[in-house]
Amino acid sequence: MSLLELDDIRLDLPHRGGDRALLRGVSLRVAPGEAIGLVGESGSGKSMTLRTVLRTEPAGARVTGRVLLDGTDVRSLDAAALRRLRARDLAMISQDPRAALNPVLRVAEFLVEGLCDARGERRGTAERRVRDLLAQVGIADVDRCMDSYPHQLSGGMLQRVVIAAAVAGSPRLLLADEPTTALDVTTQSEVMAILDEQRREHGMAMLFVTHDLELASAVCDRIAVLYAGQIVEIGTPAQLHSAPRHPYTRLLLDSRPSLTATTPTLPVIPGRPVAAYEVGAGCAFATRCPWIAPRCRDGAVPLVEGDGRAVRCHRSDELRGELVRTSAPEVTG
Amino acid sequence: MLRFVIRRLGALAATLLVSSFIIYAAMYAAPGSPESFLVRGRTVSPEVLASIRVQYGLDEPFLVRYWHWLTGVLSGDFGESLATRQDVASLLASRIPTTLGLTAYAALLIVVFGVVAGVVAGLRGGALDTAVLLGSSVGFAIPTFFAAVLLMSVFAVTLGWFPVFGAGAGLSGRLLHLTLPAVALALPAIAVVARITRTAVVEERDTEHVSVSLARGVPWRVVARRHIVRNAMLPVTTIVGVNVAALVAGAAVVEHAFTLDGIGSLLIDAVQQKDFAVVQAVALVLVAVFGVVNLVIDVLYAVIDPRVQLGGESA
Amino acid sequence: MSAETLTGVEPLAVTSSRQRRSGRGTVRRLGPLGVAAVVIVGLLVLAALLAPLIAPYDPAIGSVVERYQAPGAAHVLGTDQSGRDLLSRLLYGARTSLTGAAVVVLLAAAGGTVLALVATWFGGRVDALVGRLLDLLFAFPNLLLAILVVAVFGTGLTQAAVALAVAYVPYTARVLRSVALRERRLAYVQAAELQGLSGFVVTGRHLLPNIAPQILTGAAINFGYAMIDLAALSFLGLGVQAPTADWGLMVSQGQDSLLQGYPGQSLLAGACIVVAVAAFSVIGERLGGRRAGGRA
Repeated sequence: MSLLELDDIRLDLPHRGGDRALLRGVSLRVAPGEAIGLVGESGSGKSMTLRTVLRTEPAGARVTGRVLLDGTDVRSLDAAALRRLRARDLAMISQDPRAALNPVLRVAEFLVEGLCDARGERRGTAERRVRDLLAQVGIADVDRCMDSYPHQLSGGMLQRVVIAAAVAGSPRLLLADEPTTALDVTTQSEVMAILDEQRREHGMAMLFVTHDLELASAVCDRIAVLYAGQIVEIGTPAQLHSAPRHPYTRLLLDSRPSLTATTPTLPVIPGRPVAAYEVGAGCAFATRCPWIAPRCRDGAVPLVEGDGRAVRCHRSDELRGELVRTSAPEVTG
Repeated sequence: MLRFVIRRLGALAATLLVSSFIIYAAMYAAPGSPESFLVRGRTVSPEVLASIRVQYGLDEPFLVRYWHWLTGVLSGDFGESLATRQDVASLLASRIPTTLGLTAYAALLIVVFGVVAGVVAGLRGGALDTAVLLGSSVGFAIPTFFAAVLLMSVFAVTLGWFPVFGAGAGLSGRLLHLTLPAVALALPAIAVVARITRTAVVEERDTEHVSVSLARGVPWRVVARRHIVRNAMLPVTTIVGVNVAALVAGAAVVEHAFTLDGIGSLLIDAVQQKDFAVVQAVALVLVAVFGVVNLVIDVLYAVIDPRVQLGGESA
Repeated sequence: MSAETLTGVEPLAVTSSRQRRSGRGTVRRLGPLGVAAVVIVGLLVLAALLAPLIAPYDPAIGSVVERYQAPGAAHVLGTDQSGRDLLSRLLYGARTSLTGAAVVVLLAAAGGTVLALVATWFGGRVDALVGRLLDLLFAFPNLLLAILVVAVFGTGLTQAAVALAVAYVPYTARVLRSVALRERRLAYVQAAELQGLSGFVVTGRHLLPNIAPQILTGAAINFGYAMIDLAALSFLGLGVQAPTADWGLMVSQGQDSLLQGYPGQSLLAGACIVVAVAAFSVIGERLGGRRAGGRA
């Protein structure tokens, strides 16, 4: 049984001159302890998918479809039940730790708030636990960190604090939205390693949003590639890397410079990303796809499952051989 | 912190010194000499005029007179009123309690009603929000003196709930007499403070750390108190401070309207009578109080916002 | 003032159809409240201009026999304690209120602009000197500064307007200085300087036009404050002197009548001030909001 099940999530945002669709039917299952990467360009709907799980979508947004966590429909919970669910089962790690912490409160307040105020735990036990966790995420001087204000700590330190706070409540599902993008390049991999380690240690499932396919491959069990508010392909990192079935996945892989293969020019995906609300009839990727056929332009394309993976492309069978990457580096994980 | 306060006090002293010179020089330059004021149009012999000039030290050069005045002020001697021959220092002492009571009362009203209205409007939204927005637009446009006259007309003349004039005796009498003036004085500031508080609360409500706290399952009441209202109080402190500091001078209008015997009405009367000794003294006191209030606000701000680095002030 | 003149950003040579469209755009940006404010200000300006033509009576002459008349056929809004026609006095009162506030705003804007540009252009010691001067002025509460200037120069509309302008200059100068300073650091101004253009030319051609929107917005916002403060000075007996018709003075003069049960004069004059100030502050707000929105 899956821990989280997204069933045909659609999200429309009211806009002058008609609603705009941001998600056009996202369906996904996450098993307990499983890490799934949501990968795509900005505007593809990956962050918005996370927010529908936490129910923090923008005000006025209309969401349809079901979000089942352990069989409970998150979308239909009342305020009190939603609050309990957020306090107990979910934890969020956002992009910018500096914005996530109240600038005028000490780090200690932020850490214990999620345990004391949200879950009603005693301050003493809460403080002991977050102290242990701060040490675990690699903070040397725990006392000083607890007594600091956010502006006195570096971005990398703050994100460790956020990770500690997220892990503290032993949630069943971690929602991570580009947790390393706002950090210095030198601290990115360190923070990512700590997050990965903590997740595995506590056996938490994770939805990991990133635009970086390689990074997702390193820490996730499966990866869902999003384009224009839809999942276009799901598979394990190994499957996607060696034999992508969707042209967009292939182009996404090619557009990343590889350390092993030297290419004279870096291939780029032609055209510009299409927003979900701009998509007409037919395949959303049709406007940029080098392998386009006439039938791609009419009728919605279904997500077809098979071989333990899924793809949303009319021509995936015909192109199977053509999309295989010969120079694909070995991927472990 | 202590060093910051000491440095600011030093700056305030310097400002006061320069201000005192400007105030004294301005009164010196003003048309109408003190001796002609003293003789009040009577024809007096040159000998009498000369003796008056010596008596009041008017025969000395400007800088010497300024020096005498300044050293006097520093020892608590503000000179003598030209109009009433009263000692200015004791005149001030008898007038200050009324003004102090009036401004403190008004400041309390600003904090209680302005901030509370803004917080409630910002947190709740809806019809209440619209009401506060509308009320603050109108309140802002009502001049203090018109609010005074309006309140007097409704609550003192028509309804008879409050006395029209005077400062009253005893604590309850004083409060009763000062209520309408304090409301009139506070009204425009309440409007501004309510508006800005509301904006600050709405902005704070939309910040990421607030939605992060909510997404962690922290109850709304706690988030509203600890994150939204507390953080919104930073800009609100500044605006409340500016408005409370402005009461120092604004009180003059209300004291004049309600014929209260504060230092504001003393200033107005003195300007009209060209009683420059009193004008100088009141102006200096007002500048000093204004400076102290502003200093207190800055210190308060540094206390509530940990990001303010007082040590870096001099840079 | 019409809705069209407020646009201010459209080029002069526009076709009539574009002009209509821009006019409609302005109306939409102003919103219903903004349009009402523009209409009110237009009516006030008309009243002030046409007061001698449309006022039914001489504002300064009344007869004791006709004192405290209730509104009626002869006197639409009634009469005051001297038997003077209130409507006529209100119409003439618009003149002193509007011209007084206009003088304050113009002088404050001029003084503030000059100080800001001088400080920005010369920088260094001059900038520090201007900064000290402004700090010193900031040490005085607004109203106290105005009262002191009146004490030196005497009472009257002109003196009161100058006094308030002095009190407003530091605020105007501080805002404009920061805007001008930001502008001066931009590449194109630096380039003009490197080309050897004189400071006067660069300031006039590049800095001034770029801080012009801020000058305009500041003036619009100050107008409401200036009306209130000017009326307050008149109320205190330090501004416009009797028998001149002025709203602030009328509120003050009506206070005695009000205590005797004739609130008409004070309330009408006060209401005029409130409506006018509200209209100007709405316009200032819209103007400021639009500029700020356009720059964000």
